[in-house]
Amino acid sequence: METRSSVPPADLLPVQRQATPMFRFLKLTVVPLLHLLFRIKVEGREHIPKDRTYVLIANHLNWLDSFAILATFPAEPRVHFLGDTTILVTRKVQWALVKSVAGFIPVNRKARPDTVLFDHVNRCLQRGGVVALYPEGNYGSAEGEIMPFKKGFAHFAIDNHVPVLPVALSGTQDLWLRKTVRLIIGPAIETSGQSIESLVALSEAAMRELLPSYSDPGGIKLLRKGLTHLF
Amino acid sequence: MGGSRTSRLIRWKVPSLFVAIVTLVVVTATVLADTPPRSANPLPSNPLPSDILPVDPPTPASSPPPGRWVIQNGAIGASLVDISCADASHCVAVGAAGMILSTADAGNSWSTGHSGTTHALVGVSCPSPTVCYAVSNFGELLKTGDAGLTWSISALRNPKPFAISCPTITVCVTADGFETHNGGGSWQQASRIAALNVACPVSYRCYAVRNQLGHGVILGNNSGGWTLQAVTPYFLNAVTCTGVSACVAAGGGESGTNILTTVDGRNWTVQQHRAGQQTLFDVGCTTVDTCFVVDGTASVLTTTDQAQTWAWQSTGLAGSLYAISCPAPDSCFAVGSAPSATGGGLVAHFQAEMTR
Repeated sequence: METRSSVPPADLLPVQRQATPMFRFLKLTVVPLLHLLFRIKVEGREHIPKDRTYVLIANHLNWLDSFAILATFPAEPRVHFLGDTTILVTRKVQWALVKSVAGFIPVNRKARPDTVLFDHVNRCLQRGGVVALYPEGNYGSAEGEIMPFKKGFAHFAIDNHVPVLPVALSGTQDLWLRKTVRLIIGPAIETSGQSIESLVALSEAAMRELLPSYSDPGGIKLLRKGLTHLF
Repeated sequence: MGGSRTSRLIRWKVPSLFVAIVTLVVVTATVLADTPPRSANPLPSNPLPSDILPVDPPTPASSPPPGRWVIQNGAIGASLVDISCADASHCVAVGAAGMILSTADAGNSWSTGHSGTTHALVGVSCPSPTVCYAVSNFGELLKTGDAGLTWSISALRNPKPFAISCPTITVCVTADGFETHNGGGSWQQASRIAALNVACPVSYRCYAVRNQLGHGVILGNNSGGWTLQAVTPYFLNAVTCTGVSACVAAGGGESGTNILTTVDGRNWTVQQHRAGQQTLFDVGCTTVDTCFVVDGTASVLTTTDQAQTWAWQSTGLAGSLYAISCPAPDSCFAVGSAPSATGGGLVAHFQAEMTR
C-alpha cells in the first residue's frame, strides 16, 4: 500500500490526443505570462509533425523547459511529459489540477523495470498523444552540453513506430526577467530500420548538433534568483 | 538607494504576482473543468458519490479454464493493439504504424495486409470472415472486403474513434458515436459519446465505456440514443457481449479495478475489485460462463462461472497482452507487445482442453 500512496496511479490520468478544456484554458492564460517574463525564440517550428504522433526529446536545464515546450507546441496532439509526479498527489487541489490538465505519465523510479510505464506510454502513443521526456534522466550540468542519453525513449519510439523529435533548449539554466531563451526544433528522426542503440546514438548526435554554444549575455539581470529558482 | 528599494520591491512582487495569477487561473479552471462534456443526447447530470456502483470485497478465485497459451507469431515488427475474429479460423489484428495481420487458418499462418496508413490502428471489428473495419488514432476508417489483404481508407471528421464494433457487414458503430448503416458508404454521428470501447451484439443494441472525472461510465444504446447505465469507481477500458443483453465491462488499474456484468442489458453488477493491479485493457468471452481479461502483462484473469469468481492464469509467454478476441468456445486470440528487449508485437492463442 505504501507504493500506492507515494506514486500517483497513472490510470487516473487521461492520456489522449485531445487537450482537455482545462489545459486549453491554462495555455491561453499562462503562455502570455511566460512571454511577458521571457523572450522565447523558437527555431525549426516547421519540423513539428502535423499528421502523426512522435516521441519528443529535449535537454533539461530548469523548470522553464517543460513550460517553454508546452507554450511552443500546439495544444493537439497533447504533449505528455514523463516525470516523477509523487509530490503532486500529496495535495488534493494539486492532484485535482493534474487530473484535469492531464499531460503527465508518472514514472515510478523504484520500479525496475517499470513495465506499467511502458503500457501507459504505449497507450498514449496509440491514442495519438505525444510523449515528451528528457533522456539525460536529470538536469544537465551546463548550458550547451548534454549527458549520455538513457535508452527508454528509443524503446518507446521503435515499439510504436513513431519518429523521435529532438528539441534543444538554450538559456534556461539561469533565468532573469526578459531573458532570451532559445528552443530549437530539429527534423524528426525516423525509427524504421533503427536498433535501440543506433537510435540513441543518432538522437544524441542530432541533439549535439542542434545545441548552440552559450555565452552569458551580460547586462542587468532582474529577478535572477527568484526566476531561476521559481519552481 | 531608491533604485535598490525598487529592485527589492520588484524582486518580491513579480514572482508573487506570477504565482498569484497562476493560482487564480488554476483554481478557476479547476472549477470550470468540473463541467461534464456536452452530448447530443444529454446524459444524466454528473453522478453523486452515492450513485456510483458499490464495490464488492474480493471474491474467492475460481479455477482457470483448462487449456494452454502458445505464441503463434512472436516476430511482428510493431506492437499490436486490437484483434477481431469473425470465426475460429478468421482473425485480423491491427497495431502501430498501420500494421495489419490476418489469418484464415486459425492462426497457423499470418499474412501482412496493406493498410495504406502509417498511423496506429487502434480498433478492428470483423462481422464476417471477409469483411472487417478498422480505425486509426487519426480518424481514419478502413474497410476490407478480402479478409484483410487490401483496405480502403476514408476519413472521419473526428480524430478519436478508439474502437469500432460491427454487428453486421453493413452496420458499424465507433466509440465516438459514428454510425454507418450502409457498409461504410456514409457515416453519421448521432451522439458524441467520447467512449474508449464499444460493443454491439446486434445492430439495434450497443454498449460503450468511457472515463469521466475519475470514474468509469457505461452507456447503452437501444435504438433510441445513448443513455447512462452505470458509473463505476475506477476507469473502464473495455466491454464485450456474449448476447444481446449479456455483457462484461472491465477497466481500472493501479488505483483499483472494475469488472462488471449485465444480464439484462440495463443493470450492471460489480463482480470484481482488487486494488493495486495492472490496468485491465480488454475482455473476451468464449461463452456466457468463460471470460478472459488481459492486463498488459503475460497473465490473464479468467472466470468460468459467469464472472462470479476470477483466477489468474499464467500464459507462460514473455510480453504484454493488450487485446483479446474469443471466436469459439475453445479458442481465444490475444495480441500485444513482445518484451522490450526484442520489441515488436506478438499474437498468442489459447486452446481449451476439451473435456469428455
